[in-house]
Amino acid sequence: MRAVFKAAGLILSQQLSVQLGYRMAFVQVALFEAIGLVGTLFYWRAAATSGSGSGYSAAGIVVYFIVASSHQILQESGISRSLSMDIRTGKLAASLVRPFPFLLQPVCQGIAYSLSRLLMIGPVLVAIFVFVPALRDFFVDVAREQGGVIWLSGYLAALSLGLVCNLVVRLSLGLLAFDMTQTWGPELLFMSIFFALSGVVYPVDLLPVPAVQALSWTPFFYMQGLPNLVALGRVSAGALTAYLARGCLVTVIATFILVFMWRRGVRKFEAIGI
Amino acid sequence: MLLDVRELAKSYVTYRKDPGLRGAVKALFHREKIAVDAVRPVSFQVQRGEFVGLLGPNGAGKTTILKMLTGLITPSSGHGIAFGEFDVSKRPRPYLERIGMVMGQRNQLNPDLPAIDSFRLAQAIYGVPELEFGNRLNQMLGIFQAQDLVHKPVRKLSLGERMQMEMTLSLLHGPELLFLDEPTIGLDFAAARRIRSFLKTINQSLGVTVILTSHYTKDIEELCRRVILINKGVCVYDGLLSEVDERIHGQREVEILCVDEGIAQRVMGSFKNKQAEFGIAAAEPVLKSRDKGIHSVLFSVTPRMLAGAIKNATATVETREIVDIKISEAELESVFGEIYARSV
Repeated sequence: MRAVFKAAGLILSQQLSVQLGYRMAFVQVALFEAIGLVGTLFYWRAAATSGSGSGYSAAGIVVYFIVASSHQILQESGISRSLSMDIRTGKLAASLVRPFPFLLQPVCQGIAYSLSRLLMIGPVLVAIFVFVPALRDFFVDVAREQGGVIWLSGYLAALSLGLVCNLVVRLSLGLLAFDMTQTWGPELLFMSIFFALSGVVYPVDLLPVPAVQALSWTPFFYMQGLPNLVALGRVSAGALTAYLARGCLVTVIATFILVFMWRRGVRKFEAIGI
Repeated sequence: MLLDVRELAKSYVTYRKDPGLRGAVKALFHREKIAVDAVRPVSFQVQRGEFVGLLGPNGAGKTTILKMLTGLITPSSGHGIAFGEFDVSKRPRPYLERIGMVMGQRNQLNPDLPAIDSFRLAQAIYGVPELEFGNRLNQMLGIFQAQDLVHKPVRKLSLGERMQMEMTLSLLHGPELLFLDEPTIGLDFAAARRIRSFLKTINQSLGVTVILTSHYTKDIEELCRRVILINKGVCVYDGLLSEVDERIHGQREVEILCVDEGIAQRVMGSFKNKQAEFGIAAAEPVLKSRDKGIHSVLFSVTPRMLAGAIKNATATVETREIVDIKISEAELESVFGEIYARSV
């Protein structure tokens, strides 16, 4: 029995060594727990203010969740892990000897993911619209108030920007594999911020105006927050134009960072291999 | 000349971690850097149509050399010029269009799709005309007799079948220079033989120059006319395989089994006294302990010296003190092992 306990103690110690061995990941997971707790405060604020001065009716909150869930489904989330696997397992090496830009592969993979998900949820959304008149009426009212075609165009622009922004950010996360063996640490960190601030869980316009303004300089706002708010008709045409311009700027900057990370990563790969 | 490699070397920094939990905690704050010379300066040339084996034990630097030659990693010093004009480390597009690479442990095929889809992608990437693509594909599949495999999802193929498809993929754009990193790793005897037969055909019939790394001496014996032996990042031999064969492979390994250790010591002493006459001063006899107190003496001699060596080695002992004498032909593996040992 003593030998069993001794061996178990050794296994425990070795497993702790494994966890501590990936030091960046260890620190990031530790941060994730803290950020998750902070994110909970936002959820509380969302719940406390809904229907009282926030401008959201109970029906509005329900519609928001349908919209947010649909957008979430359309956004590829596994692409960062797939890319980091390609880098770590050597598929990158096999691809670099071909005269083809490697990054186009995950980009196409991400687009294919979104299109396939659209095919999956499209019929369900159509059925909901057909068989739930209250929901249909909600959007008919929004379209009437927001100017029909202009609203639809604005929504599609915001959604497209969100998908592009999501792709760029996820690819950047995947490229972290050039610098670390385990990328799940930063991915958890990213997910915690994403869930807390992007508008997946609660409408971001529940936050104070300065906070929304600050958020609009980050990609998170465009990945989920803006398309969700536009779908519910909560952004005026003027504000939408400004947000789209700012969103494009943020996406361009994020793309520059992505390209920088890629070039730096490939240089590093060329220097020592992986 | 197809490839001219001059003083190509690679060194990098790695980290050392102390064992146990204490080591893991310590490594959170401080890691000890260690400089590693993966490849010390190596130079060689490869002519068009050659089949060159790049050999060495694990960690010798073979794959690092292959990665440098394909431009995947940049050399710390030296350079490689391919086709008389391309600096391989810069990975220029015209160079990539003229080479192919197969890594035995890396997949280029999409596992979720049939191989034909990956072939079509390669056709698009390299801009291979339809007619040329069709002819080449039929030719490759004909050699393998694997026409049925191209429509099966890759993940449902066996390891051997997948490697056949990987080989086909790497040759669809008609590369002049093919790099193979352990292409028969993990394959059974029949699958490995099929791959070897394919490689022989593409080298001899299509004139594709091949540089191969492999641990399997069967691959080397059957395919490579020339071998470059690498050990601990150093090139220890570059020449014809047949010369290795003549120089060392032509030896016989002799094992004289004696009734006890004392007799074996005497046999070894007798052999040593006359060793210079047997022509291989470097190969020391080895004393080994066997079952039931039996000890044996092992040494290598050329066939011409065999009878004399045995006679001299056993001259000081009685016939009844010798249990058995075994004579065998040295294997290529032990020949390479000896060359590596001499290089250390």
